[in-house]
Amino acid sequence: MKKLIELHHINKSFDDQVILDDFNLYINENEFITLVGPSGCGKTTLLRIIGGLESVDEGQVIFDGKDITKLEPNERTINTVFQKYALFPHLNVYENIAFGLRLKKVNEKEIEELVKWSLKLVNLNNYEDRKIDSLSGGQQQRVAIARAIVNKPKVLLLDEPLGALDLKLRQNMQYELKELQKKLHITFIFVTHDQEEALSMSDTVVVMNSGLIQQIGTPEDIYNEPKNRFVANFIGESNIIRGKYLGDKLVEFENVVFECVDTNFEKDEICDVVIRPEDFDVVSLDKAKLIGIVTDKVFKGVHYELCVDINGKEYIVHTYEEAEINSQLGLAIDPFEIHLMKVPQIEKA
Amino acid sequence: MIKKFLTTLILIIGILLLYIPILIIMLLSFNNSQRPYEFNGLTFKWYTQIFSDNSLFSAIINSWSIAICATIIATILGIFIALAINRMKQKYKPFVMFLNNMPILNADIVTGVSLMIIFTLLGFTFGRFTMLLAHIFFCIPFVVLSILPRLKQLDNNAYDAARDLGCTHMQAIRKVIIPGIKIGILTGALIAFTMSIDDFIISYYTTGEGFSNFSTWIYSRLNRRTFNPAAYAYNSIITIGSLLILIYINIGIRPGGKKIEKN
Amino acid sequence: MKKHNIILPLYIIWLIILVLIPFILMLILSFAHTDGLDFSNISFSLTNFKEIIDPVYFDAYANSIILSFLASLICLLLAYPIALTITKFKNNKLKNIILIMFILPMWSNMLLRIIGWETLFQPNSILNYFDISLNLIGSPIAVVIGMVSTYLPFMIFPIYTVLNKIDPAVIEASYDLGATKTQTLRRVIFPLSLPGIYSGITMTFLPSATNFALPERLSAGKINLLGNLINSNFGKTFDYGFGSLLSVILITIIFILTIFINRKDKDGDLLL
Repeated sequence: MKKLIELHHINKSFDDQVILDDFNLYINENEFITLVGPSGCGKTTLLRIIGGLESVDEGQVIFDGKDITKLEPNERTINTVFQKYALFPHLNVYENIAFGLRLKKVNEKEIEELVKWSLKLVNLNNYEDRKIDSLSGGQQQRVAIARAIVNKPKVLLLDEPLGALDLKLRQNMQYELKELQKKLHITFIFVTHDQEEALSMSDTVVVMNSGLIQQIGTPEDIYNEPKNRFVANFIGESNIIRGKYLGDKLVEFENVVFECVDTNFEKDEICDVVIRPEDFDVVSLDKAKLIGIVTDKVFKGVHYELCVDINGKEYIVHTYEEAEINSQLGLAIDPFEIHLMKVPQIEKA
Repeated sequence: MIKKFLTTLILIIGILLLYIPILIIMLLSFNNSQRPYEFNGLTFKWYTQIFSDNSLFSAIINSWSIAICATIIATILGIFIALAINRMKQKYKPFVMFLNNMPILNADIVTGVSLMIIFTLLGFTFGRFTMLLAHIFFCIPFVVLSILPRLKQLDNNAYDAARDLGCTHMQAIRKVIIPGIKIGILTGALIAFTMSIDDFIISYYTTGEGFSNFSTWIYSRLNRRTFNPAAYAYNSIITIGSLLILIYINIGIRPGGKKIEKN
Repeated sequence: MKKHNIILPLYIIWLIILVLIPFILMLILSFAHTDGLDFSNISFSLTNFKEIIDPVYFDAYANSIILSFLASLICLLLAYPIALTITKFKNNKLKNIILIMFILPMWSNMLLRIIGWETLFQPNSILNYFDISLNLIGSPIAVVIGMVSTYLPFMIFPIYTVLNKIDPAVIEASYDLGATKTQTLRRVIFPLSLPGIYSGITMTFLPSATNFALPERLSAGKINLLGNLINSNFGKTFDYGFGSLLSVILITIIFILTIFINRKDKDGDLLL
């Protein structure tokens, strides 16, 4: 795969507040990459820097081998789908989509074909003459996407484009966007604070927090092998327990020794153990490695969410079977479901 | 570079166009000579004459009393009218809004003549009362127009929530709606006051029996010996005074406000 | 929510008495000859309509249209860049100071501001001390300068209001789609600010054409505008019929403009 965008040592602050701190990232051709993190983590700023809407304090933006750091947004072959669509209220659907083409002096016949083509891609056939304020939020979203892709950019930037839509519509659009990216064969850089959205759409997920990359990887990597507590907590639900690596793929926590699959730890090294709520197996008490008391129970549709008290600490367990509150519960964990994380140097002392 | 130079130039031309006459008035207010084309020394005598020239002083007082009364009455009425318009059926709204906007859009002279005709036919004696009535008439639309957008922004459920929590109708308006549209009320009152105190043409057509405000006083004495340059002095005091008040409001309060924002 | 039902009907009656009835009266007077408002000797005829096309008045019509148009155009050419510059100020303090600078002159009496220009335009003025004599009184230039100076703020504020309301993301979207700054101004910002321009023109053109005191002072009575015609008919010659006809024509123009503006500006907040 070819590197399409390279960000080198990007620094950016607003009024003494550091937004991006020596930020480095590569983005490949035809990749669906998602920047995910809590609000204020710098993901939108990063997107605006790539689009040219924000300047950098230091660092370089390389696009297709060329330095575009100093280029104005209109000089970049990158297009953006804005958060609240930012459609031109004085133009109809056709003219909104044709806006970029007219600037490039494309002839009218070609414009007409391209507008039709892009409207078809976003499933809005025959909407050319509609006024913007007569469209629903979902339809405006589609026009915003069509307006960007009609210019055939190599990269499409999407800034939380689904944030204003309701759940059902959002799920449909997630699927459609993924399909669109496959059809168009271009790079999508998608920004969201919704971790589920990030996992279900992307080839690559970049988890960000306070201007730094926490982890880059495929959705599976990020979910199954979070690198640190932030990622483990932000992506899905986690039980994080302090433990000790005993060597030979053995780890001890809650005074019980478990088998695991990680090896890159020293003997007797303190580590954090991550267990996803759905990775606990509920077993009979005589087979259990951990025994706790059920303190709370919520029915979630597919499963029950239980709060289980083990040695005074609270664990979250997902199970298909119902359990009585105040009853004892036996739990076991498969070795490959136990994920160990390094403990930050400061906390070891 | 050229663009920046041009916009700065335009900004300066705009400011000059607005301020040259004001500066000349100030200059005249200190001019010892009563003839505007010669300048023979500084004087403060016109400033003391503001109070000693009875006809001028009473015109100034009339301007203020009419403006204050018209503003207060128009603001109170405007609040309730805006509330009622906001709730009325969409079908009749354009008609009421059209009638409401007419005094704003209409040429002052047509408004003045219209009022003169109707006041004559109603048998009113022209003077303080008719002028006040006219000022209330053209002030209400400004108040209504500045409150309506604020009412639209106000959450429709706020009134219902207040009623649900035990407010009477009037309490709900006083405790929830009025605070919500406060800025609109203040802007409306300010515009109404500005329009009223500076009005000339409508006042000219609706006054009588020797009752004059500052503008009609000036107009009736132009080119006459009874014109007193103390009018320049009064106008200069008002200009400087309003400058100081505006600076105080906009700059004096802002630093504290900014601190709160940062925290 | 039904308790305020009285205030609205009362206000509508008030507006009908003070807006609609005078209009109907003037409409009747347009076809009539009376002695002021004494209707006892009323006679109906079309003489007012004949009088209106009397070439004696053509100068006033032409002056009204040309001079007010020029003044509005100059106001627009000055106000647009000024309003645009004000919206671009990032420093709020500075922005407020500039805004105040354009509001402040309105607190100075309009007649006195006109007299300010008048003293400057006289052949004998304080400028004589610098060996300058503008001697503009009586010229159309003096009238136009007076109009621009008086009504410029009324052009700046509606335009500023619309420009300020434009979503910054829409402008960014334009750059993103390949537009330069000039292209964005022409294709996005300008069309979106049209309602402000329309309202600004209404707030400058009509008052310019109907303010009788301004041409009286700055042209020494040599240039007559619509306002002077109406004023002399109602105030001096008591020819109410002819004055009414002129007023009715003005109201009709305003009526058409109102409908036009209402269509563009649904909130009605551009009139302030």
